[in-house]
Amino acid sequence: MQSDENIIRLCIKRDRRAQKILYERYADIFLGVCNRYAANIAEAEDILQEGFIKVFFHLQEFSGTGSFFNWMRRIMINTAITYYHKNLKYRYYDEIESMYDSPHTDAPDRYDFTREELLIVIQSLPPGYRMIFNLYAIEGYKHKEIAEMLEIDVNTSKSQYSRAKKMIRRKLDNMSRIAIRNNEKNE
Amino acid sequence: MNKDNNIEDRVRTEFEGYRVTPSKSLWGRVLRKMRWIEFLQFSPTHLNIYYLAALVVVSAGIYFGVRIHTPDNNAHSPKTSLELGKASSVKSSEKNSDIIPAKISSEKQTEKPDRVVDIHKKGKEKTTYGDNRAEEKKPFDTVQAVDKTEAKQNAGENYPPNGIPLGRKITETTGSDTKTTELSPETSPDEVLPHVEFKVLPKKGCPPLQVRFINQSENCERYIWTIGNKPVVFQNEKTNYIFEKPGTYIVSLTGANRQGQKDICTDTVTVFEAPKAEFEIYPRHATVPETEITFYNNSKNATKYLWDFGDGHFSEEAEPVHHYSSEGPFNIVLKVWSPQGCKDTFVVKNAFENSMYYIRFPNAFIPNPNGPCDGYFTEAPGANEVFHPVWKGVSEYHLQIYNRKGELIFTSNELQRGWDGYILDKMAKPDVYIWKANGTFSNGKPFVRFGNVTLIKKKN
Repeated sequence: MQSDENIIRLCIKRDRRAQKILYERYADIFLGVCNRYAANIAEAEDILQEGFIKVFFHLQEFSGTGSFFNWMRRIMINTAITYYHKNLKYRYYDEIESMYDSPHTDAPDRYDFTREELLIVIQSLPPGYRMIFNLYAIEGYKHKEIAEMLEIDVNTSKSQYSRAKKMIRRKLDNMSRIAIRNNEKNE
Repeated sequence: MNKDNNIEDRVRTEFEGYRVTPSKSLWGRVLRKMRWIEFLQFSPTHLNIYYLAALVVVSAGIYFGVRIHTPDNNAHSPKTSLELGKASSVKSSEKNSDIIPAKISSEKQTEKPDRVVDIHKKGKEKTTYGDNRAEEKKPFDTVQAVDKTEAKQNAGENYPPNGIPLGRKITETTGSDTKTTELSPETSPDEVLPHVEFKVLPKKGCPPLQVRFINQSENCERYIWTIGNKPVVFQNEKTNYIFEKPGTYIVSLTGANRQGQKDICTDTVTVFEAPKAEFEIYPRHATVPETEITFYNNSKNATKYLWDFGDGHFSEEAEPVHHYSSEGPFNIVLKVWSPQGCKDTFVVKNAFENSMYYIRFPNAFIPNPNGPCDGYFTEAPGANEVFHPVWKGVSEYHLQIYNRKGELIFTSNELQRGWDGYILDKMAKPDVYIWKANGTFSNGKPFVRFGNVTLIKKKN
């Protein structure tokens, strides 16, 4: 197995074999990242494709000082943001509904969510919420940084984040209710 | 509320090192796009659009350079060449290229006859009409010698009106020919009309209602689902949808086949109104088993109730009264059902726990206007001159009171000594004050309480 540095050097020379090795080494992990930012796997693959093309054409700009993985990750995230901006106008956006509060006061018994279910919930969020939730909760950016990246107000970022969280909670709550109900039926 | 704080951590750990295998075609897509971008970028190392463009320009230059001369051969015979052109144009586009210069030559002659004549005089080639081949070589040189730019200009001016339309006609016809031949295999085979049908499982239920749509359509390539007029995209064939709010939803599925013929099918999903279970315990801070407890039922949209008092006793009354026979704590559960059979549950955990160990503070007090009393108070009914807690089973205690500026104005380590509302022998102004109390119960459990208290001035 060749080291990343070697591969990078070859990739800068546009060596197709090296590019393929780099792709094969990182495609699955970054598709995992893109999948969180997308509404479905097809969108995630679109983002990944764009991201890899950016990586290949800007590889010579990688300073080599920081972590190559983080550099690529950053590119993928930026690509996801670009994708979000590009597709913003085509998306159906339902802010009012998301304000709707669940009428239920009691939380059902704890139900263990699988990653699959969490992903479904994240992917089903409105795109804006999904971006902010990913950037803040998972990537760990500050609201100020997110505001700059998404070209929104800091307070918008904060309020959308809390709404996103609320929405996730509601959706998970609904899922567990359904799961509990199904269990009761089976018994 | 553990759940709230956990969402971020949960998601972060869950997606740490999360991998998804991309579809196999993705690398091909990346490669293709990369080649295309590389093609558009200039680079000396590989073929790109600039090289290609240069190549096209050069070859076009050569092509026209060669072509411009053929006219002169036909210059004397515009008539025949035109006829020839018409005849050949029908046959093929390849021959057409021969015709174009022929036409130019005719134009040339009409516009600038002198020059053409000159050329021919120089070339000494005024011979028979049809025999072009033999004389081809000589005029080639002569024209170039006479006026190259002139020829080019003529070419530029004369090609469009005459040559190209002819050529286009052919390409168009050939184009349409190929089109029709392409189209025919699509349209001719048996037209399979799309048939759209789907099943809804279940069709009605309580919220949140998870519904599965089973697509039973035939002969369709693309589908569009809408729920309540909003388009819905299902992921990876998973046609599950969760309805959160009550109501009747129209679900439609539009399917289209390759030819764009459509069919539509609609159905409805009914989500019932959910009940909401809620109750209050009265008296709120009662001690059991001494006190008889009344349960106020604040449930909504419910017609059937089931109470579980947590001590092994149950009731189906709407507002039961219960007499506990032992000390708490108890988990009290109220289950309610709506007329449609939807259920909701409300739980009060560890009710009457505080009957052994508790500490509670009032939210207002009226200091004695006659002067400070050092915070010592009597348990007389209705007395409210000193701010102090009521408690049971408290072993350690520390109270702090702050004003709105955040300045500490009072502390006490004695349960028997509260705040009389005076600061240095002067009564504090009527305002809201913030307090914090911490300590331990005699069972060793620590407690922290905080809140605010309103100081009310007694009217004289």
